[in-house]
Amino acid sequence: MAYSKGSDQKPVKTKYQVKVINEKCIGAASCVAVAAATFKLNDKNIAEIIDQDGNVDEEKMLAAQSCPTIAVEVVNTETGEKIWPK
Amino acid sequence: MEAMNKKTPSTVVMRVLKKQNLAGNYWSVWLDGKLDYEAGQYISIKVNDEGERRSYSLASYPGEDGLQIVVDVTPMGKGSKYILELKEDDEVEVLGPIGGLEVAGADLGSETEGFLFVGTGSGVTPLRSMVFDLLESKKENRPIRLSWGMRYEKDLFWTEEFLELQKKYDNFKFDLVLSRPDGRWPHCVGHVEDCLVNHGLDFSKWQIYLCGNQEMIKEVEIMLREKGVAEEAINFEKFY
Repeated sequence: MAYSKGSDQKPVKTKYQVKVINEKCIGAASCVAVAAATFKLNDKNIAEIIDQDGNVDEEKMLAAQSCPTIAVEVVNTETGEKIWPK
Repeated sequence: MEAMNKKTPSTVVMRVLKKQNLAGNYWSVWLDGKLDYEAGQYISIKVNDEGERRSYSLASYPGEDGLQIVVDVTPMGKGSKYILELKEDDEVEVLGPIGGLEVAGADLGSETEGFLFVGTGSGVTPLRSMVFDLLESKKENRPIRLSWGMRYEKDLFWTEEFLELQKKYDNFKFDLVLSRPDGRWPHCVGHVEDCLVNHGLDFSKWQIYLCGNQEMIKEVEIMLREKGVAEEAINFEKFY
């Protein structure tokens, strides 16, 4: 699997849009560890989006699935369907 | 500050080599896969068909055979149930290595006078990896201190291993702290931060690594900052 951060793999445009549910985020930073070009922790230790196209779709999905509180939602912008959490 | 990851994570299917109850609700799982990781990093394991994952720190250190994780199944959530149902030879989908604590770069510089590791509960897991890596692989000879806080004596594990390490290396000191001991407990009683104060040591030029519950991390950080430890020298990983 190719990871975009620091490589030539940065996608021009991704189809998965991620969203952080602030009330659920506990600052575990799993999303940041998996997709560091998309997520960062702000000064309140809550995840926020820095670039929707920072990582490829597969990485964004893994980042969402890695969240222990399911605080990251993923929507397929081509179909409008929320694909995570299912 | 929180350490940054150096290795790029990838998904790998591994097999369970061994699963063992360490003590109480603490389980150890050994995986047979190869992973290029640094001591203190963690992996994310797929715990159900829906794709949900849980993160577990690696207890093993680079160069040690197999990968070991330790799981406290007390929460009995999806991750706990998955781990309890795992059997030898089962396949596990691993994403890693991921972030975590690392002793690297400037931490190892000549201005560092020692390394303090403080953990509570299964927060000792990545600390085991880092301490063994420093002593056994990196042959570090500056003072290394591990302070591990647990509630009950019945939940302790790895104590013989750490005591053996203490015998083997003059620069390693292991402190065991219980908050709720039964009867006579010959070592420190209370919280890890209280016992660290009792040592009267000057940690102002040490690198600090904290792993465990949020309250412990906050309390130890406050105590160390009051004693002159720079914010940049305090590395932590919160367990949830």
